[in-house]
Amino acid sequence: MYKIIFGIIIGVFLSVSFTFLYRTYYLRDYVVSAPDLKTIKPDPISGKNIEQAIINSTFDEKINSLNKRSDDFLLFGSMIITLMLGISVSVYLRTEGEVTKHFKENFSSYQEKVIEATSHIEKLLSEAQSNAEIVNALKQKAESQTDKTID
Amino acid sequence: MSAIEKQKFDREYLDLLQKKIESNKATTEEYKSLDFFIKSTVDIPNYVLNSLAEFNLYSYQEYIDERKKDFSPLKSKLEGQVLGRITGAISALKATL
Repeated sequence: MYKIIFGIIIGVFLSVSFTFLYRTYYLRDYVVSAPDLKTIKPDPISGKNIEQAIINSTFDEKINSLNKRSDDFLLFGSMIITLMLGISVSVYLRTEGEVTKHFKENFSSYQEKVIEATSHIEKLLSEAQSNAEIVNALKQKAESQTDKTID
Repeated sequence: MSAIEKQKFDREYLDLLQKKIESNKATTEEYKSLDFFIKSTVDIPNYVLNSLAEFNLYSYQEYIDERKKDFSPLKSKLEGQVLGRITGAISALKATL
């Protein structure tokens, strides 16, 4: 259970880190702090530049709208990615725990299987060695009998 | 001539003996007769007993008892190495008959 909580904490930490880094490094050129806003003085609107001011304000509005949509997209995107990362981490940790638990519970049965397999292999090896030993002994006996016959 | 020496060894008897040894149903007399047969055929004395001595077992009965135990540290070795040696010897001897 504590591993799942650990995974969620990691997920939250990652999401906060991602948002902070995104704001700090990627949006720093677009972020305007409160004191900066006070220093910005709008251009006086005169008859000469009123048309230009309208075009600019329309353009600004479009830019702002686009920024807001892209912000929404990035926010939801980062949330989805963070959620997926959190799920992946928790699944990984949970699976690791389950596997360890399974092996601890079934260790004796696996050990028995390994011992049985080893015993079977040893039996086959001993059979082969014994066969060779008996055949060699028979060969030596036959040779000695042949020698005696020749003598 | 003792009963062991009178025992007739043919393929059928050796097959039966092998099965009995594998299922740990053979008697000490049968093990003795097998050792006698190996000695008379290939001049190797106490072939089975010497295999048992490697595991600090000095009689056929100890071997039979050890294999009957449910939990014995020697059991897997005895059912592997010693049994393999005995069945290997029997199969080699069968080829000579």
